[in-house]
Amino acid sequence: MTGDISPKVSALALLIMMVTVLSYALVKYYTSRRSYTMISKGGRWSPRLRKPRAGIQLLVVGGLLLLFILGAMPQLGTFVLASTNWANSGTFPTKITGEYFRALTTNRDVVRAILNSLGYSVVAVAIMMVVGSSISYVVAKRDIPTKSLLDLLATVPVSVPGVSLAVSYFLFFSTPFFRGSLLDPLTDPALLLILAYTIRRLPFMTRSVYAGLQQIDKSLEEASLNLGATRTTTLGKIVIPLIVTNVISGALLSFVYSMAEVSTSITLGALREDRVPITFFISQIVYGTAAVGAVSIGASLCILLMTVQITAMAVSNYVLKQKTSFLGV
Amino acid sequence: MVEIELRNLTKLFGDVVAADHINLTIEDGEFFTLLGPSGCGKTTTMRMIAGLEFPTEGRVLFDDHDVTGLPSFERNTGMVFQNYALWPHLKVFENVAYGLNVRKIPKGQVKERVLGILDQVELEGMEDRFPTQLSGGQQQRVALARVLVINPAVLLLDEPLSNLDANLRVQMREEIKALQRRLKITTVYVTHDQEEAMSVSDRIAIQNHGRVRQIGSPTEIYNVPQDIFIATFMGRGTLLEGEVTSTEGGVHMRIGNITLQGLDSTGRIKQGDKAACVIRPENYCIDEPIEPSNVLEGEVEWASFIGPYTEVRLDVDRHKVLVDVPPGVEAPVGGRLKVYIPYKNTIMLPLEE
Repeated sequence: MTGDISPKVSALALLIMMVTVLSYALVKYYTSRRSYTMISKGGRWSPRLRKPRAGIQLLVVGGLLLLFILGAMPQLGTFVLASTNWANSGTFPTKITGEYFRALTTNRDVVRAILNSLGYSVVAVAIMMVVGSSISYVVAKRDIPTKSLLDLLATVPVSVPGVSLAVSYFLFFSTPFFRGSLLDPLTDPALLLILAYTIRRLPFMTRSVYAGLQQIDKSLEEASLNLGATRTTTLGKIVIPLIVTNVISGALLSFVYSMAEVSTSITLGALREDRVPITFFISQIVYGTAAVGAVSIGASLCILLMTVQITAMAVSNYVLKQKTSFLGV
Repeated sequence: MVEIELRNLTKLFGDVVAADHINLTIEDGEFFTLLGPSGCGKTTTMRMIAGLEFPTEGRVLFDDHDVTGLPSFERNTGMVFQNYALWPHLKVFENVAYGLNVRKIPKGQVKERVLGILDQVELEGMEDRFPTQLSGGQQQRVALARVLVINPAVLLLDEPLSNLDANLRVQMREEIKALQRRLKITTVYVTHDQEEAMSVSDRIAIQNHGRVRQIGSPTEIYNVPQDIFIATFMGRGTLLEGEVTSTEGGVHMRIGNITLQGLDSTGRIKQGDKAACVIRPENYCIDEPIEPSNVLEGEVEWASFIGPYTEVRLDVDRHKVLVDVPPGVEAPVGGRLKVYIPYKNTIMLPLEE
């Protein structure tokens, strides 16, 4: 983490950012030309269903199954790796074992990495929920001159490569001004990791909440004000309940992506051994520098991350009663 | 209940003038309608009364008390929105109880009042349903109950019937009027439907391009319109433009080869002016009346049987005239028809717009 950053890296980061900002501006321009408010928000979606013929059904199911198997190959491979012992040579595993999954709760280093990632992600998501929802509310519902800028600032982190963000943070917060403070990455990278997770995943939260707010007709708020409720009461009793599913969706998505965050985790996470997040730990195993040394433990950590993602999907699908999944994992 | 006064009320949205120096007084307990075409500023005017919009200029007074700067939640007005604005996550009971709960009314009293008002709007037994489980008419009643339950000083109705079908609209407007009479609540009603406005209102203000063009009772507005916009906006009719030949004993106007005599209620028509004559189709007589009348004769160009009458278009010296012919009178297409229109029903208006 010392030495100069190559100007090529910075230029590349800038290029990616420019492309993303331009695409964002175009989409924003397009969507701002029409209204997406629905008075029926909160109502149940009841699409008209048509059952295809048996042959077509078979074709669709078969195709999807094939796609699923092909897509699931890496996951299946990881699972096999995490649940079996392999001989030094040979194609097939020699023994099924649960020891690598057990290591998730027994191995001190592994447990610490899990708890670290969990802690960073939970705190980051909590900050995102408050900050992201507030930004979205201002952008969607208040007519202030700087709202477009605010929206841009909250969305643009999605286009900043994680490594660039991590290096920038490192260079900025390791200056003498911050030396020895909680923000100094050389003292403790935890706060910076939380900050990095928050900033990097904030767009998932703001977009999700913004989408919800966009669908709330302003008359729903006005009716509340008209009946004697203050703005705060209106926010608490009308607006938040109507966007709660969007907040939860955004929070789950941000949480999943924070847990599996790689680029800043492997950069800033390297600075203190007791602060390493899961993904840094996995990278150590992959590069053979981890104390544990077993690739299968890395695989079991991957399975853990996948489980977190699948659980989030299940929550989104069944608890929130959403028909379509919002997760791109 | 309160008296509402709008003084010089103006609202600008950028360069667009939504309300232009509006001056009017709505009396205590009156059913007052703001009527005008889409985009005339009537809803903006109502929203300024509700405190959901603040005027660029001018004042809003409730019983001589200036409420111009007061936020909506401090005005005690009850507004029914065009889309009802029922909260989809709250049941009917919770929707209706909302205004009482924010006023911290004791729970027992809330229940009693909510069930009472639901009973009044014939929604008893519906309190556990969600708004999406109700029909349009029922949703409209919930919206009405939700504002009436708080005993508002002013009832504001923003095109509340526009989402209902024709039959239900007539039924609901009668119910709203009856309810308003019973509760004697000052009511401001916004609509673009002339018939609806005339059937429920004590007085109507006609608005166009942000300005109030005329205020009066439905009969005044209909029979004595003050300008061409109002005359043509309110009901059907024939508009004939011509030149004023004399103003002695009424306005005499020449329209090509036709000469008509009528009344100028505006007092603004002078000899030699260009003017317009507005005649309502239902005001024609087939038999010569006792009162002094104009006579028009022409060829029946088109006839359509409506039910209570036959709508006929006459070609009188190349001018198209719309006449309602009563049942029993033959008016075949291609035949000739002579009709009489009393001077008092021949509305003369200055041609200034």
